Amino acid sequence: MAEPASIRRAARSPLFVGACLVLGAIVLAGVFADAVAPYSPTSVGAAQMFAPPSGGHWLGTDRFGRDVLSRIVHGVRVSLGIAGASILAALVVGGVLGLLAGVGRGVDQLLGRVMDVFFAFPPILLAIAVAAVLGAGVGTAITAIAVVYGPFFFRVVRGSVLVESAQAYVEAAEALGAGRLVVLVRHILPNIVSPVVVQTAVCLSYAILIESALSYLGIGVQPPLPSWGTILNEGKEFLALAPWVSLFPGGAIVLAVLAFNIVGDGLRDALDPRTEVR
Amino acid sequence: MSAYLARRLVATALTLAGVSVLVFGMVRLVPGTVVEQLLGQAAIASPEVVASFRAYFGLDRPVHVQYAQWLAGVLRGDLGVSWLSGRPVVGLFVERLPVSAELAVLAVGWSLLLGIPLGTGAAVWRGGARDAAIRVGATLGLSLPAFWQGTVLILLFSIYLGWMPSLSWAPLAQRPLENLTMMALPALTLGTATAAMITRMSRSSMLDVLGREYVRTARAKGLPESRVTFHHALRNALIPVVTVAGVQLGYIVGGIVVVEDVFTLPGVGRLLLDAIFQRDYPVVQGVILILGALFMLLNLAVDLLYAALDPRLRRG
Repeated sequence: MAEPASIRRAARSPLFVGACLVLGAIVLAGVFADAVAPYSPTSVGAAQMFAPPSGGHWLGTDRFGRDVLSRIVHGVRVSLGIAGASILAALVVGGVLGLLAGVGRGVDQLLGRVMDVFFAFPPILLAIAVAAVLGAGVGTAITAIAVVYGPFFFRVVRGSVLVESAQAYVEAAEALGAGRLVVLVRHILPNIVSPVVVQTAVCLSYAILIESALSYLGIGVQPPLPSWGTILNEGKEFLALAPWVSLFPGGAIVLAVLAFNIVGDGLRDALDPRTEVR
Repeated sequence: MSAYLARRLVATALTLAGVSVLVFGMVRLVPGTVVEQLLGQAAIASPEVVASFRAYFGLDRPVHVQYAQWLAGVLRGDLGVSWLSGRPVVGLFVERLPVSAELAVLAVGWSLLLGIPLGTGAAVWRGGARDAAIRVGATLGLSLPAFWQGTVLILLFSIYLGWMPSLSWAPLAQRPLENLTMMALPALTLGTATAAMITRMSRSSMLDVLGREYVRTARAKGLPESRVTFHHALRNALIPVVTVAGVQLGYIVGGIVVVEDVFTLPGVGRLLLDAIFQRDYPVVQGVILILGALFMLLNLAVDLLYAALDPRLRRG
């Protein structure tokens, strides 16, 4: 586990703290979207079509006269919700399989071969393939991202288990007669939390990117549900007429992804002694 | 080296076999059978029509027989025909390949040209303001979604600056200048994340090398710092950068789908997306299989190149 000192060092970096604050603000905005958003994300106003940003509509309106800011705020739930759910699924499935790989050489070899097949595709292409099979939708986006990043968690957990297995405390537990599964869950698992935490932060940023890319392409979240990618997709035909519909949700994506990346880098520097900042 | 080569080749072959099963299986996972999806209303009206279609596509045979026939075709270079146009999938792919390949090469090219000097600079200026600026820039580059960056560039150049590349596609061989003006923004967009990655990798690799004994020896001999940096350090630092560039070329294979959509370029990615929307499954399957295989072979080539470049691996 990480020493409190290294966490404190990370907390002194203004960039890290700023990124954490931004993420906190985004999550809060999503949780309290009904209170934060000035309008309903789906209320249509024919008179307000493509209104440019103004005092009434800070970020303008789209082709149905819907308030872009309200759609972005409600989009937090969809975009971050999908990212969170998919990475949780990837973490659980990949993590459990990664632990299981520590049971024995045969299992390890078999699981490793299977995971290699998933690593054989560029992430976005694999996600597109899953979406092509399942058809567009929220469930599809979650499944697609989980399929892409499950193997990443498998690899991290498997590697950490291998390293820990050589440690003296594992030998001690085994000498005391603990079975392999007990050793894996009770003794090794608590010691590999750090790399998994780092991986989670980094994967969350990728998950937001992939969800928004799928939705932008029209094979992820479907309108009228507002995901950041969907809002962009709906704006792309009217770019010259109403650039704000495309620009602002993209800004939200960049902000969230950047924040997760900075938090991930900060956690890695704090928790992982192998990649200390030189 | 030969033992390593053999191990890598066997692993690649095994993975390719797994990939083929996955790609073959994906169409069979489509909810509701593909035939019923294609026929729509007619499927509900008449079971005989469905049965005849299933027989036509060979879907009435056992799965392992279907797989064996499909694989035999793949190995002969036959990926089936498009359900929509009736043309062979391989032909459709090859037709679209030049656009995507040009895009990928341009993207990797500019990202190397930018990433290596920036990363090297950051390492040399370690800890200073310039280092910090480059590192923040690289993180930003990794966080920009390609579709949004493309949108912003289109807005900026086409709409505000009035710099309009022609709307009809200009092939490189026939109208090279027009082609390159069309490709500039897409390549810039596609290569941004790669440039950021290469910057990071060059920096950390350079820092690693600058701390080595032989660099200290070179300095102790009284060589000028520029010669130490460029002659002794950079040449060795570039070895891992080359491998990253190779792996990134693979990721670019995925990014092409998004960038070709943003800039409406008639490449392989456009072919894949259109096929998905039209439920033209042989084309979806074929394109994914070829791109997956391409990605794997690139990774294999990178590993082998790395082994060839790094003398420690060569002896092993």
